[in-house]
Amino acid sequence: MSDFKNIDRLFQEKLKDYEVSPPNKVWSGIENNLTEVPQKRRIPIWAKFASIAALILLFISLGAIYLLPTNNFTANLFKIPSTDKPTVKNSTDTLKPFEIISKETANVKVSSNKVKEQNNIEKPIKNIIKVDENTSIADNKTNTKSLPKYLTDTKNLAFQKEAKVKTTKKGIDKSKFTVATIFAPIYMSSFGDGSGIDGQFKNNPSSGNSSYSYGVKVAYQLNKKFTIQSGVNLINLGFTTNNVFITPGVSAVGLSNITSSPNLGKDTKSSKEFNTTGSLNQVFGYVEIPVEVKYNVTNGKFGVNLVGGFSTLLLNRDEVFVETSDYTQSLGASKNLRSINFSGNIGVDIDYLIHKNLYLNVSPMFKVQTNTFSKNSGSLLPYYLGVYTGINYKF
Amino acid sequence: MGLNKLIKQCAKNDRKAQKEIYQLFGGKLFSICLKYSKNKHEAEDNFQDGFITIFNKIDQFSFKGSFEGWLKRVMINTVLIKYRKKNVLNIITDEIPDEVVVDVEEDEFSLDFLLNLIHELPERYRLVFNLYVLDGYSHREISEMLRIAEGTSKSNLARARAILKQKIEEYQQGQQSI
Repeated sequence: MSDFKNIDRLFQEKLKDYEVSPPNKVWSGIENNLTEVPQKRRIPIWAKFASIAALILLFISLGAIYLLPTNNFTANLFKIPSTDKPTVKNSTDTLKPFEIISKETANVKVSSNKVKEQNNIEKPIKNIIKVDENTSIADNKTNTKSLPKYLTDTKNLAFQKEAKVKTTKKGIDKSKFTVATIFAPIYMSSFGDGSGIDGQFKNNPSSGNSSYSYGVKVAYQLNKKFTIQSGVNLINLGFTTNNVFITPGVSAVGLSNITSSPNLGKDTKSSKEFNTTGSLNQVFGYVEIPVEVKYNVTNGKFGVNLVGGFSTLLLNRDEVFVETSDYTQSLGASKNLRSINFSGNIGVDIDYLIHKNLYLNVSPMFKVQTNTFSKNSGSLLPYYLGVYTGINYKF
Repeated sequence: MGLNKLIKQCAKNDRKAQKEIYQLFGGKLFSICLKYSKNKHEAEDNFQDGFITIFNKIDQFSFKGSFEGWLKRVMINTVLIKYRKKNVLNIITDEIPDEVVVDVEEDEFSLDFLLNLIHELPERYRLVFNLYVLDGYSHREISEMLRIAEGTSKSNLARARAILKQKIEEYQQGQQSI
């Protein structure tokens, strides 16, 4: 078969996409000519010392925060609920400002108590308020106003740590270490029923409050697949027990899990406040120290990892509020929150490479808390879901 | 390991990653050298030099566009620089038609035969023919790559085509007379 062919096409057809394996000896020629680049060895010696020094500093500063007793943060962190009975006891003898009981028992108790004690209370309430406030201010431990103080302390803790870790960024060969900032919205709920406040609210509807967590994370890559990570997070959690009857100004049953340091903050004369339905908010915060193992599933621009581990949670905030449509009132701290408890963590971790060593990190985590409450909480087992986001820097 | 990661490892002078890249793309790149070079021996030399250049410059790859395309460009440039240095070939710009047509039978010529024809072309003709016909560069691009005038590129190509046509026809006549 004869055909007139454009000479270009003749060559294109045969030669355009053909491949020939090069002779084997060529590779060794290339290999010999490639310069040994000792670039990565240039930094390490001082960098390693610097990072070790920074780590030691970090531990010392952490230790100082935990051990120095003068600090508000430490005072609250290691507060053992049963020992810090408030010194305002004297006022509570004459005045228990709120009666809070569940719906079922409300009718019976309220009617009898109201008659008995209304007279006592209606008298010099305003004076008592002042006494109350003064005593509680004098006593630092029970003063609810100190809350913001130690919160700022813990904020400093997180930032201090970050700043220190940053100083180690410059060195260490290969990308073994990662530091990250973390912020996470937290959605809390629980398995089982019950209330963290008192056994009598067992059947009341309760719900977890959404909140947030923030902190820093340090990760060390063990090998291609496994990374171990730890860090410090601050986390605030909350539980709300709904449909609670609140009768202001009536002394009655104490709530089993709350230290009795209520401050009266409302004029109880107005009759409309009697028997208001409201909710009890239990707010607690922890310093979370997670230890997790990360298993790498895929990498590339998107890296997908599975994460599992546990966290040690150190209680640093604990308060109960009563809340109605009209007002919010602190009832003091809960007695049944353990100062140390743990959570099991499981989740996914997705990295997205932004630039060179910078990664955007999104990590939905599911954490179940064990032994949150020491007693009287029904079968309540709180868990929370957090979407931890942050910027990772590999160095 | 993904290609991007492999490239990054190469930039860190990781020998294993370099070998992997070599194995992945060696075939394609060696064929380029075979086409652009005068003979197999020079092709091997050029291939080796090209790959060394690739690994020395791999950290300059910007991860935009195809990595294979980048490899090809680096390889072609390495070869061009080499031949650009030594060759001075002055050409007469005759007007030769664009379309050069030969009468061929299906699969009459083997790959080796065609490759051989290319090898026999004068240096500049070979380069221009390769760049224009096999790798799709325009005359303008070729003029920049070889530091020649666009017109020179055009006439080089026409000369190359004419020589190839002549050689093919000679070969066919030789076959017939046997």
